[in-house]
Amino acid sequence: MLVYIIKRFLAAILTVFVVSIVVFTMLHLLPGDPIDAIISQSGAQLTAAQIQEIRSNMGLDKPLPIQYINYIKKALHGDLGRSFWSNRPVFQEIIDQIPFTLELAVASLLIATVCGLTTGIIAALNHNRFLDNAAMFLAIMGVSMPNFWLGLILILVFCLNLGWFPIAQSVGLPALVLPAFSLGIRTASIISRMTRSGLLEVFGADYIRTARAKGVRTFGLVVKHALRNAFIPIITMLGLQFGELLAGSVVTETVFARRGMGQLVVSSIKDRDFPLAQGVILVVAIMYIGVNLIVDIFYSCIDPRIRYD
Amino acid sequence: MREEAKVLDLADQKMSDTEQTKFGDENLLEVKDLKTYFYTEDGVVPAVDGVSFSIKKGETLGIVGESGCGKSVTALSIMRLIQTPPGKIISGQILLNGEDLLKKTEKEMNDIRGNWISMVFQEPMTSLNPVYTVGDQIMEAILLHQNVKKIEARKRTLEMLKMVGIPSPESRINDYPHQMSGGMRQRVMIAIGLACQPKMLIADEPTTALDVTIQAQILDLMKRLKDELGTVIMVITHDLGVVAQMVDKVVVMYAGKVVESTKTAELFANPLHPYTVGLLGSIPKVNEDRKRLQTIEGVVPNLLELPVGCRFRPRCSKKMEICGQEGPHLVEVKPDHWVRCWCFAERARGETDEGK
Repeated sequence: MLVYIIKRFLAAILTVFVVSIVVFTMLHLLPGDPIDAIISQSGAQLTAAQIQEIRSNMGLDKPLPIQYINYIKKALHGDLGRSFWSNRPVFQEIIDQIPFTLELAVASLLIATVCGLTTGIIAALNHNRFLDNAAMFLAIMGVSMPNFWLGLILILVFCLNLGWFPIAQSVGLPALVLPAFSLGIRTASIISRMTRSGLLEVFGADYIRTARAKGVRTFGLVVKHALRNAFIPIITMLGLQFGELLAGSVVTETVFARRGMGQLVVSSIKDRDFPLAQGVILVVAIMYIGVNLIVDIFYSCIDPRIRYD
Repeated sequence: MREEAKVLDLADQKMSDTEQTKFGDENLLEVKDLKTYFYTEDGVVPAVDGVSFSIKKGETLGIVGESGCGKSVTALSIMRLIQTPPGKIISGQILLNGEDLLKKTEKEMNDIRGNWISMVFQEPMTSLNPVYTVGDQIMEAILLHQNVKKIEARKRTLEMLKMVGIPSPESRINDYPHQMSGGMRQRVMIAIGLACQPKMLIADEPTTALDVTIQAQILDLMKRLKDELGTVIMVITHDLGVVAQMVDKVVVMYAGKVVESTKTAELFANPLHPYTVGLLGSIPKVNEDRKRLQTIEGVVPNLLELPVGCRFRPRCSKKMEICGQEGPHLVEVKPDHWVRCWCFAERARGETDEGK
């Protein structure tokens, strides 16, 4: 199993490198020159020579691969460069905003998991009866509601009309509830359906029949025998959904006027703020790859057949 | 034998009377007029339609028949493992040591399953839970029904593994099912089945999914365990070879009904029902000079569209007029030899009975 973990870890690191190359290349291939954008914003009149000096100070006149290598060398030491716009270290900008996004992502993942698993299990245990149909109806509703729409509706009802939750706050638990819900409901619905169908499939398996023939009671059957087998695809899905949640956080942060990486991502790309954009995207990618690495390791703990790959 | 004595000592008191009345005359299991129907969208399927038989202590019973004749459903009905819906045991009695299993609550049945009656299934490759070790799954059976600590259960699991012939049980106990071959998994299934030393073991086509050499080993194992533990075994099979090797008494089923029932030697020597005659005749014999195998004409009837009268009539070479009008009853044509056929109704000793 250790070999498996090491292999996965190395694969993850390789993936991070590939992502960094792709991001770097894509940003630099975008039309629009950061220098021109900054200069026109500031309204200054500069000669061509002065512009060229600024360009070479920023290292933007070197060939692309050289720029990339310089970037990576510094990044490995934790220096992600300075934002073209604010001139603050990229690392600092990210550290300032990351806690809010992480908070949101984790909270919505929690909601998704708890709601999704519970409704899925209830649906599977009451197959084709009222609770099953009700749960699946809710799941379809949840999956069909766009993140931003749901967010706006929640603000309208719970903040403006009922006044239960604060608006436009980034700190504290009350401010986290509605954004986490609006972001997590979609994933919850997906998990709910997957749990239900996974469990139903497992219920029909031969080894469940063997367990019943041994005299295992229903509760033990579900919790001990069925869930662990049904979990494997569900956990995979959770890992992948984390990426969706990170992406969705951009929209949610905008709708709820929360601080976070969302606004960093959007503004840095819009302004061609290369160092910042690269830094943010790289950090997000590392978070996503990290979560999936944890998922990989976790389900080798659950499913012994995977340990020997 | 010392090892087996140790295992018996650790068992509950229920073991002792099986040892004493090994060939007693009491019936361990009596199935009386069992009817299990399946209510499907296309209609009602009478999968088991009035089946009766009994097994004495120390006996081995074989239930033989083609696919779809109701043998597995009978076994699942005894264990009350029928999926309801769409299945339902609508009538009959299943007496285990005199107590009717059909009147028990689900909780009582959970105590009985794995403990007093165990079942071993056909597909060893998929019948074990892939995420738990083999040892865990055997220990689960023990811990469910016996009031022992985990250490004790583990010790007993090792003994069971040894008893079913698995080499190096100390290391195998921590193996997962996917690390074992089909034959070994079936041995584990038997170990699970016998872990609590049940009075009866039902084996549903235990060797069908295994290759022939392993088949022989598993059958030998079951015979040995039958002798050592005194467990009553009910074997369900379509393989007459298994029947000949292992069982004392045979019940032949067709389309949900028992058509012949007698001791094994008698069945092979004097098959009476045309179906049984056909079955035995269709076994290829090495010393026979034939170009085509002998078959029984026709196919098993669709249980949703059963013929009026005798269910075997469309395929029978001896059909008479009455066969198309009324279904025959099970009659005792010779001592302890029951047949459901109009050919023998007159020859009966004046006794007709729907069950034994």
